[in-house]
Amino acid sequence: MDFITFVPGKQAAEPLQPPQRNWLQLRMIRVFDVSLAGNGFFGVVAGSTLAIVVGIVVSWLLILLVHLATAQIASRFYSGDNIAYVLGLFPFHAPLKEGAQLFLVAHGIAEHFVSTGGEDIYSAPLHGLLVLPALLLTAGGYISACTDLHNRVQRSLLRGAAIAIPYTVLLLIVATQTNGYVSSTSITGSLTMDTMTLIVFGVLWGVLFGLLGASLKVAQGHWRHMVRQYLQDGSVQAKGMIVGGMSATGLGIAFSLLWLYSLISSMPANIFFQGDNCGSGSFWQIRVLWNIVTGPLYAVNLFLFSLGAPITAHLTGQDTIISCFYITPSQPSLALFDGNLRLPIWVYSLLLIPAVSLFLGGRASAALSRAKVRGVGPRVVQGAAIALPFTVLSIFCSIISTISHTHVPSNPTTVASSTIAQTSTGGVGAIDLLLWTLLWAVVFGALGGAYQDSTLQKNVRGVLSGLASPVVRFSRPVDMLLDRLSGFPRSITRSHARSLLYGAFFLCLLLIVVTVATSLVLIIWNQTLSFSTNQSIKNVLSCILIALPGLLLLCSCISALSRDPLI
Amino acid sequence: MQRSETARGGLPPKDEPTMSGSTTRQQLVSVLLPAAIIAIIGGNLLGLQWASSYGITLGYPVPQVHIDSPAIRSFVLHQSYQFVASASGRDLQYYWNFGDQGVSSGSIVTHTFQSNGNFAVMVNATDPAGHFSSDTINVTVLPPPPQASFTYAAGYYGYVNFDASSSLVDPSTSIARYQWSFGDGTMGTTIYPQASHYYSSAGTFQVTLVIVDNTGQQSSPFEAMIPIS
Repeated sequence: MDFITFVPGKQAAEPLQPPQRNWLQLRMIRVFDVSLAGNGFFGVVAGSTLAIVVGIVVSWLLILLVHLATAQIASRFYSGDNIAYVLGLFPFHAPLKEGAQLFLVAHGIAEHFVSTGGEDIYSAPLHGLLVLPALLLTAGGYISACTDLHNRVQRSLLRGAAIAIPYTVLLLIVATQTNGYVSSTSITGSLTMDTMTLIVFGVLWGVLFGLLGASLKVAQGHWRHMVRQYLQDGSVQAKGMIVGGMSATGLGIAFSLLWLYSLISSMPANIFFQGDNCGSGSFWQIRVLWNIVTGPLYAVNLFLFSLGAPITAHLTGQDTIISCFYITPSQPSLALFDGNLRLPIWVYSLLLIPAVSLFLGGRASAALSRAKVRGVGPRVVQGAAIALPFTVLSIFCSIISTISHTHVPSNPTTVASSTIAQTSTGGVGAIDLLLWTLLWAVVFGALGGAYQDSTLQKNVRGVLSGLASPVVRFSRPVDMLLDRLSGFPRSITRSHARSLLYGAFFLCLLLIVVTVATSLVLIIWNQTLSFSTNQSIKNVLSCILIALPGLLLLCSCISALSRDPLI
Repeated sequence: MQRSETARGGLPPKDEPTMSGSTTRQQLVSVLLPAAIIAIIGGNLLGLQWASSYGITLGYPVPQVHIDSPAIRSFVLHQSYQFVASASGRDLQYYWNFGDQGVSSGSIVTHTFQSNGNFAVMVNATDPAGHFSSDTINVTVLPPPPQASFTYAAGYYGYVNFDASSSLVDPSTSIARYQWSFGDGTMGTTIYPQASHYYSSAGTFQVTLVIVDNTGQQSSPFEAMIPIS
């Protein structure tokens, strides 16, 4: 594939053509001249440096913003120390240093804290603010790949992935400036960022998102088309299987996140899988922060929990950090199918998450291998085959969503305690997961595979179109307005993704009316409505306000990713 | 769109054509629309939260609670008393703390103090919105007054021996002193129940005993007519 330029709409197998350069390449040539703008080493260093510098600046601004937003309540939290803890930080009370620490922690890097009591190692790899390094690494990978002025696929991807190395080195340098002595109201000791996890996550995220950025550059604005073309070449069964597994995992986590945020908005204290002390629920600022930071971690665990795997806490001593993670020491294991637990009946609606995700994953697998897999039987097998990548990805997710705390005492009081490290962990165990992922993926993946391209699918599609037509007619004025605003030609049929996006917007407009009406009811009938009725109305509507438009947005994304816009 | 790498000595022409205006607008709307949707969701949530809080503020004014009865502030040990609180507010829950580790709930409660001393009786009225008000009264709990009684026995040469051991006092306290009036104009105070008195002349004398316990409470006078021959 080397020396081959990707041309949208064509198979990338033509001889060398004059490269089609993007705006960034042209700007780089103007600023740095061709020799430097085409230098791979320069691109790799520039991309990673930019990602680090912008990352630290943005993190610093985030810290300032958080302190500004929580200024009124900070005094109630050990002079603001707890606000740092909510973000997963140790309080330095120096915004720039805390910003750098936040940027490192966002990668999932573990922290060593040495105090008079001994050494504590905290690790919660999946941080909600990982989105920041992810975006910056994607941009860095894009910049790095842009130094390949001939737009060769392999070389561009290599340069994109290569930013992981200088990026990790720069992270190590940043870590030296973050390590130091912490002296605040609540704690005193020395903080060190863990080198091993820094290298692992620096390289992992660097390669992953660097590749993503490079692929965006290679695709020249037609990423979905390029990916679709790539998937239709070669061994489509294997590719379909992997993409199906990835889709199922991604969808499951996305649905779980939506489910989680819908409930958090309405009943923060009542969610059965959240500890009572999570996020100090009485202040909305803290709750929002907590849920941004821990949302993805909770969502992944919720998804694995919804498969039936138990969330387990292995606790040592009075570990308050672990007790904040789903479970309290009195209830060290929580599983959906645990007969001893009397979970509310609505909790079992969680089963829909893996069922729908794996069904769609099975469909994706069968659809991508359509060229070689024909007939119900082979489609079923193709759908069920997503079990393997799905299981691997789920295990990976369980590893990065398990939090741990290791304590190494410095002054052993008894011979028994000596200096043996005590480790508390909380999350879903990889072994516990194995059976459930395989079982679910085989059954629902096979169902999805069988459903894809079947007559049942055509019939269901007809029924759904019939059901949706009154809504479509009703929302037509808004659709036309949005078409006009976006300059979308009326002669072209809107894609499903665009229709769903418009639908989400239209629904939001309707929900504004509902919210205003409900708000008036809550205010005008204040003497009639009891407190519990008031809260119930608010909770149910809050849940709907997030769940319905969120679901449509998610469906719009799924639809957009599943279709080739050039076809 | 394709051009030679060496155009303008390696530099591309300045008028590099990009996406058409319509496509740019479409892509802009595709980005802005989800942002607008998220902003609307956030706005709706904040608005709903505010309306809910405001409705509760209007519907549940901060309560003002007051202990209406009993009017007295001195209570007798082991006796049951009714406490009544009234409050402005809605759907209130009343919680009483009697200061002697006794607690109770409700607007009308009864309580029996089991120990002597000074106590702060507090009532808290809380509504479902978390508003609360409290009122406190300071009360004194005393044991029942002691009951004086004595026996006597005539001795030789005008001496009479008195014994007040039969006097009653609550177990929570004890008798601090015995105040005697022997009826011949002589008074005396002892800390022991036994006393002896010499009458210098014959006649019938009215002897009176008042006992005082450790809390300072006095008994009613106990009187007896004693003939001296």
